[in-house]
Order: sequence, then structure tokens, then C-alpha cells
Amino acid sequence: MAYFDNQEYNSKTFSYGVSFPINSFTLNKDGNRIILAGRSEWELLNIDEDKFTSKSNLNSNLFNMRITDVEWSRLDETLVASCGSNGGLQKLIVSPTDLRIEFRDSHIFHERTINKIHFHPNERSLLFSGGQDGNIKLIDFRSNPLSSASPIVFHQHPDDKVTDLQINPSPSLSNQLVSGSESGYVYFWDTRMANKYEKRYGPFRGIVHIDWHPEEKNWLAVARVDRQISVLDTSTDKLNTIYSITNSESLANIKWRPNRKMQIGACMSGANHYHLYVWDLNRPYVPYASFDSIINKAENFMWRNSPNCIIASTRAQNNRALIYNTYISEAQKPAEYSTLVTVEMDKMGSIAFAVGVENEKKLDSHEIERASLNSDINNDKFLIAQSNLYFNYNEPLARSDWFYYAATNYRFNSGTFEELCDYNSQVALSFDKDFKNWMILKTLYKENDKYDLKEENSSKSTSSLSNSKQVQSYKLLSNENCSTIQIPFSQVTAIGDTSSSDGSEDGTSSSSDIEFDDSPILERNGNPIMANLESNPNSFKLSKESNEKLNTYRQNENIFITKSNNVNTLSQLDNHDEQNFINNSHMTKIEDEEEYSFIHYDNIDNLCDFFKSNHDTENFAYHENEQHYQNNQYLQNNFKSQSDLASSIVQSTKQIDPKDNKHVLNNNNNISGDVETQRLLEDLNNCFENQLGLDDGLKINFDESFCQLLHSYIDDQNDLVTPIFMYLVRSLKKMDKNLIEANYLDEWFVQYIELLAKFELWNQRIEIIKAYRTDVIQNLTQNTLLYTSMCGKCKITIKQDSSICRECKTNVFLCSYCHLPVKRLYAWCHACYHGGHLNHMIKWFKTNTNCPTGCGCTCSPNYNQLEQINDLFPSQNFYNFDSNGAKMVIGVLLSKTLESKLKQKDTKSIDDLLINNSEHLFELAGKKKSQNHQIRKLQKNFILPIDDEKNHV
Amino acid sequence: MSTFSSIPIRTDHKDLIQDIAFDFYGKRVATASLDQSVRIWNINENNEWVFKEELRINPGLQKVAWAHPEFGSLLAVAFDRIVWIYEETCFSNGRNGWIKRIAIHDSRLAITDLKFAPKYLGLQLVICTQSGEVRIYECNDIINSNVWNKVHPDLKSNMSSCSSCSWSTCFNLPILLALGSDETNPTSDKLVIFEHNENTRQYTRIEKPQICLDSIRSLAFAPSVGKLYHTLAIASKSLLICTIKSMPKEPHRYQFTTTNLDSDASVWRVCWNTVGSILASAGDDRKVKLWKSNFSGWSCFAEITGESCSLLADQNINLSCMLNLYKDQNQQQQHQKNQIQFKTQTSIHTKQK
Repeated sequence: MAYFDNQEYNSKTFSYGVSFPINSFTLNKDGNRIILAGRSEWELLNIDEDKFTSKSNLNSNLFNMRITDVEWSRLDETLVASCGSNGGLQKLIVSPTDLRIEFRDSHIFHERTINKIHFHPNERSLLFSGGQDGNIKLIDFRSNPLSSASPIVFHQHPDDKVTDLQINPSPSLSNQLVSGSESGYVYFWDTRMANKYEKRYGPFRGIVHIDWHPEEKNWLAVARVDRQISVLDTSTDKLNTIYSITNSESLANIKWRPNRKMQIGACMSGANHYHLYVWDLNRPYVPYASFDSIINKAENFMWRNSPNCIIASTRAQNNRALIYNTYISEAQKPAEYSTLVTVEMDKMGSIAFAVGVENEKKLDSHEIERASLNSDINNDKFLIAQSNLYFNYNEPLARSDWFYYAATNYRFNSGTFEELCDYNSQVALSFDKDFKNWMILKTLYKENDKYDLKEENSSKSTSSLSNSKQVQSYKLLSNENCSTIQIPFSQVTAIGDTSSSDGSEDGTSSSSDIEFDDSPILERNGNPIMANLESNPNSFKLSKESNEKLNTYRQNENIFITKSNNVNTLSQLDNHDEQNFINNSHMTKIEDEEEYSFIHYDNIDNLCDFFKSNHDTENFAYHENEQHYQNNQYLQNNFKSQSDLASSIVQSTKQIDPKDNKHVLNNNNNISGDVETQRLLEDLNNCFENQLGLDDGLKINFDESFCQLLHSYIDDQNDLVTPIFMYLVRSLKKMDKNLIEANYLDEWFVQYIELLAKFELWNQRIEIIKAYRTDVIQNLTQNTLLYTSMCGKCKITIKQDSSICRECKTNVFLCSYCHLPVKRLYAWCHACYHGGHLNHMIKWFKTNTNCPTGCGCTCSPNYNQLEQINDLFPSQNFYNFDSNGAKMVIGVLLSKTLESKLKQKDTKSIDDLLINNSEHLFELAGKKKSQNHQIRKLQKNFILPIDDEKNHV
Repeated sequence: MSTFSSIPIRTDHKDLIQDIAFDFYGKRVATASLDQSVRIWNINENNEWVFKEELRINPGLQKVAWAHPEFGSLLAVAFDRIVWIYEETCFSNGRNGWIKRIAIHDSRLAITDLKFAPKYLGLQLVICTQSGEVRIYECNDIINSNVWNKVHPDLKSNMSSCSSCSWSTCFNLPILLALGSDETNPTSDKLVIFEHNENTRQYTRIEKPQICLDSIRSLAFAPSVGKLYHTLAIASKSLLICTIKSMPKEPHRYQFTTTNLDSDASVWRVCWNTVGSILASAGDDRKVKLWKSNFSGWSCFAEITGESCSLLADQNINLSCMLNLYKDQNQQQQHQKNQIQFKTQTSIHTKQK
């Protein structure tokens, strides 16, 4: 049979409704007429250009049966066979306009329902019928009357119902009959030998349909009950499954697509879904085409003598069904909707992405085969494709290391304001981040209240104080063994310089407090660490190198001022306090700025030479004069308001930040970097110049600009940690409560707490929650963190910060082993709520399974699990970070559901433990409800109070 | 502009990977492929991805989404017209596994996207389909994740096909739900944004200018990290970034500012990093581009490509091998960097001496 691709049907999908459920239908050889078989009637339709036209209707009521199959002879246009549930066959005669039954009575050939009839493709008169009784009969269909035909019987097996049968369409194998059975066997028969099947294969799981490949004589497609389409190679003795397609619903029908070697149509139906797909064997996972959007609830289908046209019938609703004529060009191609590339980032900024790769090799062979099969090849490409999955870890800019680092290392408690500022600036510095703002913050708010009373000398003393504090903070660092902290030597110098350069004539004396090590950078494990600065705490002297360096920096500063201001000579010095202060902050910034751009110089030698040569020609006095000049200038031109100054600070720092990155990126290009620095310095200077000539204001209020600074961190730098910590550190000083709008603060803290949870920084999270106690935060966090406890005797709830019952004045958390109050991990049984010290529980349950109180409960926790919990929380005072001495008593669940979680060890803290298992907790309580209604009361009252030590002492 | 390339990982997926989803903690990743399977990978102590479990599902377009861990270990998988909710449970033999909790199926056409709502709304899931239906389901009782109810009447998106959805992340602003359409009809509205009203629990469509004219493939709101405005990345023919500022006093109540980024190729997917500073886009050219905002606007600072060679099956590259390779590279780079710094500092030192 020849099909032609170029047989184009240009019209669109059309349908025809009939008033009976369509059990089966058959097309004539030319594909322009169709007979629908309903429950007890046949209808003959013509398929026109764009519609079905009904020609004839025939009722079969007198046969008292349900029609199961109908087939049009391919060799005789007038001959149609039909079979029914009573095992009888009908012979229909079709004229161009009419349909009639040849005999008024049908002959019963099978004892039970005939499932399938099939005309012999080459013998006009022969018809195969397969029935529920497990027989296949070959009937001479033309014998007149039918009852006189004596069929050849192929005995399959009485219990093995024949579901489908088909003669191999290949001319060379036309004697090969294959049948499928409900029990899952595929039988091969030689039509000339009826007594026994040639081969039998199986069992598979129930054969629904079989279809020989129209061209590949050895390919047999089998639709199975288990929703699989298997393509079997029958050329070998052992049936090999060469292709397999898994479907979502149980299959109703399969048919190879004509002229497409690798494609097969499949119709399937399930409880809710009906699909009509065309599969490509090369890509067994995605349907090549889907008719779901066109045909609702397709139940059966047939190719209309063309690879592009499909006739499909739908499931009947209210005894009405539709027959469709549709085209593959109108079908959806699901693969076109598939995503070729996809990308996702995890919390640390690792990038996972999958890219589709077409398998070109397979494509080639596929195309060649197709080409050999058909000269007129179609253009639709359907390629097998796979995705490569990549994980990319080494994209530094995308990573959120800074968040993690800052969140773990910044501090807002355990220290005074100044210490914390210093410490945090070190943290920022060690991550190559912008540390200047911390220094500014410190300077702005340091001794803010008593500022007006200060003398010059006192400012000197504060500077030396700050120096000593810096040393302290360094101590802190080294004590904590933060091995990743890295402080370049030059920067240390700069900071010492900064604090000492506040208008004092004698830089050496003020910075002599610090002893610099000659080689402060050590390499350990590939991570540079800061050397112990306090290694020689008693020998206070400034080494020559650092002195020189100090001067170099001053020189550098001179250059900057000279260049931009065209300074000529010195002016007199008037050390007013405020000017001193301004100068101080100004210097701080300049120094830091200078320093910052300096570190990133690649060709550092040139720069050094430059500085050195300058240093040789200049003298120290000049530098002092510069400073005096500067001070004078500020004196002459007082600021209009201090906030302007501060905002300029903020502005200038803002300007700097984006360029920092440029420095990193451009660090190969030292010339541009040089220019960049100059420009930066000019910008910075301009900011200050703008302040000149403005009026004076003695009241210093930097709050507004402080706010702006925090907002700029959030909006411009996506840095949430720094403003959070700046706010918390700032709040150590006297602060207006409404400094920052509450909705902003809430947003910041909510997001930050969420992020901390994401990074599993549970301790930090608790700290923040404690530090920022507002209703919003409490509402969000408390219900997952805290469980109110209840006194077992008095049935009253216990306050969160206590473990003593108000009524009976006894401690609720008594260890049932040692009868002493539990202050740390309280482990308890889910059923009886008895428990105690974790280590005591471990001890007890090592040898026992019953509750230590003797209440009769078989607690029998998993002993290993307890030990694991102990491993997980080994540290003493696990939550003891609060300076007030309050501890948190932690409940540990003894339920078996936890076991797996602990095995995975993905529960790093009790918080996580509770969050992840709160549902199990309730689940268990719910299950026990029927046994003990007390438990229900206690359901929400699991114990996790914040234990106040005062109650026990 | 720097270009990185990466080495593929053997996934054993036999067809295109449609979706990748990290869980909240980034310790698991689910890959959904057209080959009718979802594979779950766990990270182990050495930062290696270890295959954990394969969920066999049915053919169809696939998306996966993890619920917030506060609601338990829930994974929603959309394929074709059905959404399966999987939950991790502990079996009696002590092993962990994923079991199907419930199938949500009442959509008429294939599901194109699904996203869990921000946790402040509870355990809610939005599902959008090829037919333009957008439905929100809610599980009221997180202990019993078998029961999911439709919480609203369908959102009237007036789109004939909805391709993507995204929830806004700000806590203190009304939650927005953005829906994108992949219709080809140029006149229809491609982007629709709904605002959630906390009191009435209803969604109202907000008026907005025509932001995108081409069909939208993917949408992603940036993590807010403290910002009190929304940033929405739109993957279309080009890459768009839209800032949505709430202006309660203005008549339209929202102010939209859109930036068009020159992405060279049509963009398929967009995603943000945790702190919302980096945007990654995957496009037709099979490259992942990383975008960063600075004062001169958004710019692409890196491209990541996979190796052009195909046939993944031939490359038996072990996941762990590859990771070690990366670690080595990283360490080397770090080491070199340190050495350079060390050198520069010592050179200053010596010069000044």
C-alpha cells in the first residue's frame, strides 16, 4: 500500500457527532468512507473535504448483541465484516450510498465475545477472528451462507483470551499470524498450520494491542496493560525489546504512523485523562505530537491512509460521541515547549545549569534511514536531546561568602561601642570590604555627648586609647583563632596613623604606642593570618620602617592636597575643638581612601618609588604646615550644618564603593588605576570644597546621614548584614527610637533572620531575635522556636523564662533519674512526658526500656539516637551567649521519627530540629490522643522555656 | 567580561532537564527531566552531590518546587496536567524516602509553572497552565499534607497561555504575584501582576504600563534583602529588569521602571542569588550570563558555558572527581592570590628599607 506525504489535506480539523458510543470504526481502502460501529448500529459516512456526511444507518437490534469490532476489506470495497459480543459475525455489503446486512441472521462462531476480526491482506475471502474463548478462527467469509463456512481453528488456550491479532503485512511473511492474549503471551502462528502455535513469548503483562510495522517486517509493536509500548524484534528466536515507551495512562490503541519508520501513534485513557499521542521511538519520553488540545477524550484512532491525517473517535458522553478528522500539523508539539536551558543558584551562589545537547550522531542515522525509506522526506525535525548538568562553583562575584562571613564575624554585643566599631571594621577589612564607614561611625558618635568640653589633649588621649583598643581587638581576633582574617601590614599602619594624625604636631609620639612586627603576615594553610600584635606588648617603640611608612603616607596626603588645592603657604593654626574633630574625620577618610586604592595597585613598586622620591625632597614640617592650613581653612569657612558634612562623607563613600570593584577588575592596568585614584581623590576633595563657605552649626546630628548610609548599603550594595550590625552597634549609644522607620527595620530584620535560617546560623539567629524584640519578629519566630510548658500537677502553664510552677512552687523540669532540676538539654518521652538530663537518659536507656519513674510507659527510645543527640550538642552551655547569664533549656525529642533526621545529620541545632520536626511532634501527639486525652491537652505544651538561672540559685 | 566553562555532571537523565531546584538550605537539588523522572541529589560532607532518589513520574512538561522547611520536607512536581506533592518520610526500616501525598489535578491543559508562596501566606502553591488558568491551592493543616484546597476562584489573568509565575519577597509590602504569558499575539498583555490583600485575602490586578511586548518565558522576583521595593527580572526576547515601587498616594499606586538589558540572545530562564545582587540568565545561545548592577546600570560580567561536546553518556565524569577538580583549582587560585598579595606587601617593605 502506498501512502503519499504530498497528499495534503489543507482543511482544518472537523468533526461529526453521532448519538451512540463509537465502539469501533473502519475506513475503506481509499480512506474516503468510514463505517462507525456503535452499540447496536452502524453508520456509513463519507469523508469530504471539510466535513463528514452521513450516508446510511443500520440497526442491529435483532441480533441481540453489542458490536465489538468492524473491519472493511482492503480487497473488496463492498465487503465489511462485523462481530459482536455474542460471538457471531455479520457480513455487511456496502454500496456507494447504502449499507445493508447480507444475512438477517448471524452465525455464531465463538462461544464468547469476538474481540477482533482481521481480513487476510492477500486472500479476499479469508477472515480471522479472535475471541474471548481463546480461539482464533480462519473463516471463509465469502461462503454463502456464512454458516456453511467451516473455520480453521487455532487453539490458543481456553483461558487465554485473544485480544488482538494481525497478519504480517510484509508480502514475504504473509503466513505469519501473530496474536496477543490477555494473560500476556504473544503467539506466532503459521496460517497453514493451525494445530499448534509456532512460537509463544511471554508472559508480558496483558497484551492490549499489537501492530506490525508497515515496512520493517520484523518489528512488532505491542501495547501492554502496564502502559508500555514495546517494539519487539521478531527476527530472532528470542524476542528482543528494541524500543520501549512508557505512557501515563492505559493504552487503548496503537498504530504505526505510515511512512515514518520511527513513529507510532498511541491512544490512551485513564481515570481522568485521555491522550492521543504520536511517539518517536528515538525519543521515548516526549510525545512527538499531542492531540490533546484538539480532541477532548480521544478513545480510538486510525491513520487516514496518510502520515498526516488522523481519524479519531471520542469517548461517549450521554450517549453522544464525536468522530474527528484532524491533521498532525495542528497537533501540539510538546517538545517545542520544553526548556533547552535552565539555571538555578543555591544560597552560596553556586550556579547549577542544564543545557540541552542534541545527539547529532543519532540524528544522522535517523535521517539517513528516513531518506532511504522515502524520497519525499518531511521537514519536521524531532531530535533526541539530553541535558548536561553543570555545577559552577568558582564564580566569586556571584557567591554570598561575604554574607556568611559578615554574619558570623560581625559583633554587636560583648564590647563597648568603640571596640565594636574597631572590631567590625577589621572584619570588613579582612574581607577586602569597605571598612571606612565603621571608622566614620566610630568617629561620629565617639564621645559625642561630651565633645564640646574636650580639649585638644584629651582628643590625643582618646586616640591613644583607641589604639590600645585596637590592640585589644587584635587580641580578640587571634584568641578566637579566626584563621581567615587577613590584615595587610600597610593597612595596620594606616589605621594607627589615622588615629594619631588628628591635628597633633607629633605624629610619632601618638602612634608610638604600637609595636609593629617586622613581618606581620604569616602564611598558614594557605590562609594569611594576622600576626599577634601583642607579641611584645611591653616594648613600645615605633620601628623605623613604620615611621618611614607613616611619613610616606603623609607625603601622599600632601600630594593630594597640593594638587587639588594649589596650596601655597602655611597659615596659622587654630585648634578649635570642632575643627579638630572635622579634621580628624576628614583625615580618617582620606587616609583610608588612599590606603584602599593603594592596596589594589598592581605595580606597587612604581608607586613606592614615587612616594619615596617625594619623601626625599619634602620635609616633615611642610606636612605639618599643610595640616595647619587645612585647619585654618575649615575655621574660616564653617559648615552650615553638620549633616551636610556627614552626607558628603556618605556620598563620597558611596562613590568609592562601586569603583572598588573596578580596581579589582582593572588591577592589571596600573595607569588607569592611577588616573582613577586621582579622580577619586578629586571627587572626595570637591565634596569638602563644597562645604567651604557654609555657615556654622554647633549641634552635631549625624542621624540623618547615618540613615542614608544604611539605606545606601541596602539599596545600592545589596548588603544587609552591615546595616543591621551598624544599627545594632549604633543602638548601644543614645539613639532616637524613630531613627529609622519601623517598617524598614522590620523588613531588614525579617529578611535577615530568614537569611540566617537559610545559612543555618542558628545561634546568630537567636542572638538577633533577642536583640531586636518587636511584635513582628516575635510572631514570626516564636511559634516555631518556643513551646510553652505546663505543670503536670497543677495544669497551669509555666512562664517562658521560668521553670517553677506558680502554684506548687516546684521545678517542673526535674530529672526523673537524679531528681535534680535540668538546666540544659531536657530529653523527654513523647508518651508519658517524663524525662531528664540527656546523659542520664542515655545511661538509663542503655539497659532499660521502661520509663525511669516507673509509670509503666515503655519509652524505649533508640539508644543510638540519644547518643547522636549528645554528639550533636556536646558543648556545654550551647546557647549560653547572653551576658545576662540566661540559659536556654533545650528539649530533645525522643521520637523515632527523629532517628532518620539524625542519621542524616542535617539537623545541626535544636532550632532546626524543632522546625523540621514540629509536625512529627504533633503527629505523634495526635495518634496517642485516643489512648490518653491528657496528651491532647499537652499537645502544644512541649517544653522549651528560656531557663532563668535565678530561679534555681 | 570573563568567560568560564564548566564540566558536565553525569546525571543519568535521558532527556532534557527541564528544571533545577535547590531546597531552602541548598543541601538538596531536584532535577526534573523530560525522561519522566525527578532526581533528588543530596550534598554530602565533602560538598559533593550524591544521587539520592529517583521519582518516576509521567511524561509531560515538568517543574519542581520545594516548600519552605517550616512546612516539612515537601516537594511539588508538576508534569502535564497533574501536580504531585511528595513528602519525605521515614519508613519502618529506618530509611528515608519520598512518598506521594496527593495529586492535584483539575487543570485542563499542561501545567507550565508552579511556585510555593512566601511562607507568610502559609503553605500555598500557585499553579499556572497553558490554558491561562492560574489557581492557588492551600494546605491548611501542615501535619496533614494530603489535603489541599483551592483557596480562591481562578485568578482572571485574561491570558490564553500562562508560562511563568513568581511571588514577590518583601515582607512589609503587599505580596505581588507576577504572571507571564508566552502568547505570540503581540497585542495581548504579556505580564499581569496581582496584589494580595492581607485582610480580604483576595487578589486584585494592578494597573501597569505595557512592560513587555514579547512572549515571556520566565519571571523572577529578586530577594528583597531589606529593600522596600520589588525587582522583577523578565526573561523574554531580551532580558528586562523592572523595579516596582509602591506609591500608596499615587493613583496607580505603583511606579514601574524598566531596564532593557542587551542579552544578545533570547532568554529562557532567570534566577537571582541569595542576596539579590547577581542575576543569572540562561539563553538560546546556551550560555549562562551573570549580571551585576552598578552605578552605570546592569552589566554582564561573566559568561559560563558548558563544553560544546555532546554525548554525555561517554563522559563518565564522576561528580566527586569533578568537585575535587574544582576545589583544587580554587585552592590554587586562592594560593596564587595570596602569594601575590604577600609579594606586593613585602615589596613595599623592601623598597622602603
